[in-house]
Amino acid sequence: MTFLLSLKLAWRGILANKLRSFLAMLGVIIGVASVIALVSVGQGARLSIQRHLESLGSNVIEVHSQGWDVRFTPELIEDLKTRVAGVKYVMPVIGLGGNLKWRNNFIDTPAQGVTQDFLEIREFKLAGGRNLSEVDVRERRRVLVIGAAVAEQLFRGVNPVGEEVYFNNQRFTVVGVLAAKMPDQEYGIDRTIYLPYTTAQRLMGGAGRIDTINIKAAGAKEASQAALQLRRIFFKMYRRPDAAYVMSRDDMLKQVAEMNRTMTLMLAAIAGISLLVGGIGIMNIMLVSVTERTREIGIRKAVGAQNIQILSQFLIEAAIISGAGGIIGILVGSGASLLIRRFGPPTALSLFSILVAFGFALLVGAASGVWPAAKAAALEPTDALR
Amino acid sequence: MSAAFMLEVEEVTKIYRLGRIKVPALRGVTLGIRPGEMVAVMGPSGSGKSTLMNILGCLDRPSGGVYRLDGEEVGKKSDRELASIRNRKIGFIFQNFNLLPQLTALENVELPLIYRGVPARERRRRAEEALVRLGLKERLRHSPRELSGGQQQRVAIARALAAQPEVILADEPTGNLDSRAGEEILAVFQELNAEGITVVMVTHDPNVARHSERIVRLADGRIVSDERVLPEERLSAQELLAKLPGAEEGGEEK
Ligand SMILES: Nc1ncnc2c1ncn2[C@@H]1O[C@H](COP(=O)(O)OP(=O)(O)OP(=O)(O)O)[C@@H](O)[C@H]1O
Ligand SMILES: [Mg+2]
Repeated sequence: MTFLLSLKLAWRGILANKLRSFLAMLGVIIGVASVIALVSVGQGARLSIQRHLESLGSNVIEVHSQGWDVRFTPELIEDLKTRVAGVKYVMPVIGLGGNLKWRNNFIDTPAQGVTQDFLEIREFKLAGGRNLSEVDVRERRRVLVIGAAVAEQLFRGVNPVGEEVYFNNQRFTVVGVLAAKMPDQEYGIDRTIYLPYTTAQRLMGGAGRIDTINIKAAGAKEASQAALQLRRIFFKMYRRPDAAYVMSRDDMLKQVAEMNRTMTLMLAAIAGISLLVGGIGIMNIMLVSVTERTREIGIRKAVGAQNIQILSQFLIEAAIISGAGGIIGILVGSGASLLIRRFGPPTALSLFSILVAFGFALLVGAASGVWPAAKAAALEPTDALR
Repeated sequence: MSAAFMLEVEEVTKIYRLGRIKVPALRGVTLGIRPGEMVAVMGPSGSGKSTLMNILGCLDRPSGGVYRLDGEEVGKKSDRELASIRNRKIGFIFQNFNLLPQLTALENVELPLIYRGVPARERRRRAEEALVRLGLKERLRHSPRELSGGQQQRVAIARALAAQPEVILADEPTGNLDSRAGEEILAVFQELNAEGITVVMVTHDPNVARHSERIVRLADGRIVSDERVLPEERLSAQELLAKLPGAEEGGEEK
């Protein structure tokens, strides 16, 4: 018997028992959809943290002050350049935010007071204009280098370089525009403006404290050694371990990846259980249906169907049900993932989880359809017909 | 004897087990039916007629004894070979139709041909032909649920005929048909028999039995008589149909 015929017989079998087929499918749909949606949440969380960390630039160590008495002075920063081995750049960072206005347009934007080194540390490229300069920093000039998204949203096609803008009502000149780094992120680093940290200090008056230092090491190994050394330096200075929080980007990335692997595994386990329950659902319904359809099997055998022909029909039936359920499950799961992304945490669909969920659904469906059918097909026709 | 018989059972027994109780349905039946014979099997209810037919139709295996079909011992055949015999050699007509409710009449008739691997067009042609022959030209696409009992039985008969079997085994084939429809079935059987097909049918009706050339009577799992029907007593379905009022070719439901 040709495959096409088995297919047709199987299709008729499904149509003849719509409710039963639908219920069996529902188990698969829920199982597959939940695997895909949950794993995508885990993946999304991992990716977004990873992206943020990556945006800091490679081999970067961040040091945060963790107490009112912990002051990072320009002298200390100069000192660190020589004391810490394997260091290429040390840069003070002052975080601030505010309103940026150009003509009648304005946006709220985060800002960072930095030095000319930020371009190298953060691995930015200029799309136009120039970088901040040593002179800008020394003379506290009111100049800005703006992120690509800022340029796009505020200037809307006009070249921002040379334009006058107001940042928190202070007049600034845009001297440079950065090339986009992460175009798909709405509030990413492309939506930030950079000014000399000295200018930021003056802008903020007494509050303009350097609370963060960025350090870029020559390589990955140097970075982790530098992190150790920095912890030791700050411990000696303040006699307590939590005076400064030293975070190496690469260590952090590893940690985040580790943490997220655990989380994704856990979500996958939860989803896997629901898939299993769905599988038991199909198995149950298939068992009932084969028992119900023993007579049908008897009739088919009476007119000369061979066991293998009956089996292949039931196998294809099960495969269609679980396959269709799987495909609908993929659609529902992906849809759910998109919805979550829209209204909640970021999500990222994983091809691997889609394939695993779909494959598992097919397998469970086929196994649960075939085992009882094999039992029925082995009956003598008279026994099946009774 | 042997090869001269189309169907031959020797000391065949069948014992059903109901838990610990053994129910002997056949207690040693020996019978030979020659190619081209038309035989009626009669006997009281529970005498083992259906049991015997099931064994002859390879739907069940005997508990003891030997069954030879066309000279070949059936007991030695594999499930696969038996399926092929049911498919090609035997057309079985059941007391309760045994149609698949989810298929149309046409598809039901195609079923044995499907399992034989007959190409779709040829299959359809043969199935239609068989249904037309049984007066169901207007019912090809109907589901069995939409057909009367008599029509369903005729679909079942068409299913057996479409497979062009060597032997037709019918367990009370006319039991659910009115006299005219029953007579039409018997006419088909006699026609097929004249073409050389061996026909064995179970019936309670002596008048139906008289359409065959031989009557075997069972009682309590044994053969109690085996008689020829005298040529002058044998009924011709064609002649009877001609005498029935309102005769119309291929008679649709009235
Ligand atoms: N599957 C079975 N299990 C147990 N006993 C059975 C089974 N099938 C038939 N029998 C018994 O075997 C005997 C013969 O049954 P069978 O169906 O062959 O009779 P029959 O001659 O066809 O009767 P009827 O004219 O009512 O159809 C009966 O006593 C019946 O109860
Ligand atoms: Mg019976």
